[in-house]
Amino acid sequence: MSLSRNKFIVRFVFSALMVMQPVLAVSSEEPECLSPWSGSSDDSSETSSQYFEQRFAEAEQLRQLAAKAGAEWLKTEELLLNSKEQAGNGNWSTAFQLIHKACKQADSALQQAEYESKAWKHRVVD
Amino acid sequence: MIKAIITGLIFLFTLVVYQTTFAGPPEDRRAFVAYYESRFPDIPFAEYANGIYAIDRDARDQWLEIEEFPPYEFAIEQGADLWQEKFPDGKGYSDCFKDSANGVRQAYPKFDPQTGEVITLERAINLCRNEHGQKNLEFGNEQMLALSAFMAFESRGNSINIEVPGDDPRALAAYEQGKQFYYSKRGQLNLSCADCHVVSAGQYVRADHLSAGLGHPTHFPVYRSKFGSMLSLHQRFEGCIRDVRAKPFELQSKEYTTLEYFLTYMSNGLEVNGPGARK
Repeated sequence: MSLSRNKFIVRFVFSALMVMQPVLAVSSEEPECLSPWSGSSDDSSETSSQYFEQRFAEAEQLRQLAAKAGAEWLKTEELLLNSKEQAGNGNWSTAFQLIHKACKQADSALQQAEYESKAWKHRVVD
Repeated sequence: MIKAIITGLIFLFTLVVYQTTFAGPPEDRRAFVAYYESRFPDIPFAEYANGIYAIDRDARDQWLEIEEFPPYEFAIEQGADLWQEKFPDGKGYSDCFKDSANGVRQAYPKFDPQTGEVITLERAINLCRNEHGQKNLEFGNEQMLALSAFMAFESRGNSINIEVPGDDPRALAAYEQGKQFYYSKRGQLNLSCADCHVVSAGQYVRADHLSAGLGHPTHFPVYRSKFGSMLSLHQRFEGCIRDVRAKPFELQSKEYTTLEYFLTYMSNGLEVNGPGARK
């Protein structure tokens, strides 16, 4: 009796974890553009270019989400455009630094919007 | 007896919860005005129509000198000429704005029950033009600013009277959206409109004092000495949003329109005194 109850609990926990897996995976996944680039300027142009395009796309996606939420910061788009320009000139280190900045800004803007969607109510003059 | 007391207490509790949770526009406005009355007890209500010059006495003296030869006069004259012009169908702006002889600025922005949208004065000018086969004027262009300056001038002395029809949830939603915008922090500096113009009103920001939110919309459009040109209220919003390092919205966007709706409602009862002159 006790054994079957334990089995039931184990199965229940396991099933719950399986169901929760996509949610946990999404919440724990962080865009790569949020972590600083660890490459060096000696990396081959091809490798840097691939990484750049990937990180640029991530940062641009975050920026667009912030814009959709009406929360985009002033310089995020400019940082992304400048990063493209630097990448075009082969200045990978600067290009990745700019992307990292833009990515942080867009992510912070989204967090700000989410927090403010409730927090504003506590500031109303009453 | 005890039952009656308990019932009374429950009623009072419900009333308090309702008042604090579901404060409507009139309650919001009363609280907004009371805040400034308590914050600046020496400033009479009517003075808030003068914006920062109600608070900053030194700047007020300079402003009064500027008002002796108003730099916005050219805009009023240009606006008067445009107002008189007839559209190809022989009609004019006065055919769209029925009460224009007595001034109309005080009633804008206005909720339109037919479309469910808030209509600013600038949009109403364009709607009038469209009705008579004319193209839109760009928001913020010289002609638009001149027309709105003339209409504000003709409305001077009228009390702002914005209505939020309580029986239309769309009007209340627009008002609430503007209110949310006003109190929400945004941008890299993480500041809301209220942070500067409610909490810090009267304080210094660099070498200037921050104006009170009460009375903000009474005097627009304004002549800005800084730019050497006229400026609409939405262009001013744009400047503030940029100042907190957030990306500005389009002029006449839903964000600015609902913000104007909320903010102008807060200034109900103050006199229109536009166009104005600002540094």
